[in-house]
Amino acid sequence: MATIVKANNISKHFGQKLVLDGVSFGIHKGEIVGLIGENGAGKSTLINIILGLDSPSSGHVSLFDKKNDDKSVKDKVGVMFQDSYGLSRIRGTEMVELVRSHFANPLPIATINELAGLGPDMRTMVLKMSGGQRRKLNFALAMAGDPDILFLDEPTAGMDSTSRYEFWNQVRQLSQAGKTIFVTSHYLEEIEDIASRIIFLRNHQILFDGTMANLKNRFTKSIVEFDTRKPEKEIIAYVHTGSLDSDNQGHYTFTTDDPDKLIQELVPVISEIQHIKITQNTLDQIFREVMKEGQN
Amino acid sequence: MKSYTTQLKMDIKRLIMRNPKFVIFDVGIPVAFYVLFTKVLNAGMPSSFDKSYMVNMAIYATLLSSIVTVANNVLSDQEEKYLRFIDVSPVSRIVYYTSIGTALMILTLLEVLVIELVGYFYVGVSLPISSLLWALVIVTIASIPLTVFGVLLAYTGSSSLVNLLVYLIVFPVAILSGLWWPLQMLPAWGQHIGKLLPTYQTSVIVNNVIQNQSFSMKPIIILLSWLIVGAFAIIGTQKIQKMRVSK
Repeated sequence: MATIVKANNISKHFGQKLVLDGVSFGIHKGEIVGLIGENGAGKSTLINIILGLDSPSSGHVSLFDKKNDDKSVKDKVGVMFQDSYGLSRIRGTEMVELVRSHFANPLPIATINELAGLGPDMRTMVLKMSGGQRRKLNFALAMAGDPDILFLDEPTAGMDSTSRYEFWNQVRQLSQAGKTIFVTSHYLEEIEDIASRIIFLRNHQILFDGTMANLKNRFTKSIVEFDTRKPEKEIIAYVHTGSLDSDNQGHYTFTTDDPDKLIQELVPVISEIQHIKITQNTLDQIFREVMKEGQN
Repeated sequence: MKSYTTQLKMDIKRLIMRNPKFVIFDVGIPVAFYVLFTKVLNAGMPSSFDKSYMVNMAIYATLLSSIVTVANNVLSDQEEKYLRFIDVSPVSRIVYYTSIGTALMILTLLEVLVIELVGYFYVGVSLPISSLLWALVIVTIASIPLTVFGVLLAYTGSSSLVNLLVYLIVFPVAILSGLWWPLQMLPAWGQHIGKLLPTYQTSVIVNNVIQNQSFSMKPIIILLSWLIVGAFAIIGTQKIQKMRVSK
């Protein structure tokens, strides 16, 4: 699989302040990578370095095996920044025309308008559009050059819930069409839903880089719940791979690293067990737990 | 090339066609001054005053548009993050600056033309059309160093600081370079400073041309020096700005 972004041992200092410390990763074609980390973890600096808006103190970044300031590279990159951009006294339709002129093979105007989904409001002056409208326009503008890789930095900030739902559907369709997507968001449930891979930054380093399932395995225990009339003593005697959290009038809750094995241990009494439920922590819960561990 | 022509089309719309307040300010004030001092408060003025003051007010109009309009618009583009888009797009900032410069030259041409038309038809300036055309071309081209400083001012900080600096520069420059009243009325130190300013040198070139006087390279060298200093200052400022990004 082609590696589109290669970040090799990136470090960044601002004076004495360390912002990134030896960050390395590659992004492959077709992936949806979610970058998460608390405020000040270095997410924005990392994106700025990848895009060539900032240079690393040490280390090296390449996009499409070329330097990130290469014109042919920029032609294949789309960016939707956290804060929308625009021009005074220019309409949405004119902004599309202007941004299209920057790229060698832009998308047709009709496709860009469809992506923005603003209808007749596309003729409004950009700076007079609402925050949500400007986000939608900026997404369409990020796609104007028909990029191979799309960077989305807090893309749904300022959007209402319907717009957010529609937005992520569009992103899924783009991914299915073969686009590579690199996204950061404070809405971790959105990252959990969309990303095929998570990069977790903590204390200026990569704490975790892998799939959501691996992240959950690594950082959380599963919770197994069920109801039974069997006495607590008997149930505990069967279970070896988990610990009992609570027994509330026959409603048992175990925490375990291996829920499949725990269920197998209950097989001898399975006929007397009802309402089995296995749950895992959400990305949001994992994030808070990991951050709490970091503080302790 | 397409990115340049599209950017220019947008810049003409936003800087000239959809910017009536600034355009009226840039042209209206010099025209009002010109009419006031040539038609109302004109007692004891020599006959050549109508011509020289027309040139001065044309230069004053370009000073206003090149500094006030440019600084405000580049600052707005910076605050609205348009320049950051340029930095991640395949098109360089040179296209953006060249387009702003071209749109400003078109605005300058219009301003100078309006002042010349007022001079010719209302005040009654007697100059051959060729002299008026020369003045039009020279004042327009000589406004380029001023535009460069307009861009530079936009990088100095917040909008309140930029606006303060703009007015702290425009009016003293207008006075020191003899645009409002003759340079000889200033103290010696003021005259020394005034003669180094690009606006004064532009008036020297234009007055030499319309009075058929001998051609001198000195004003052109001074204007070019301002252009080079301004261009290097912009490059330096942008490097510093890049070092500060994401801090």
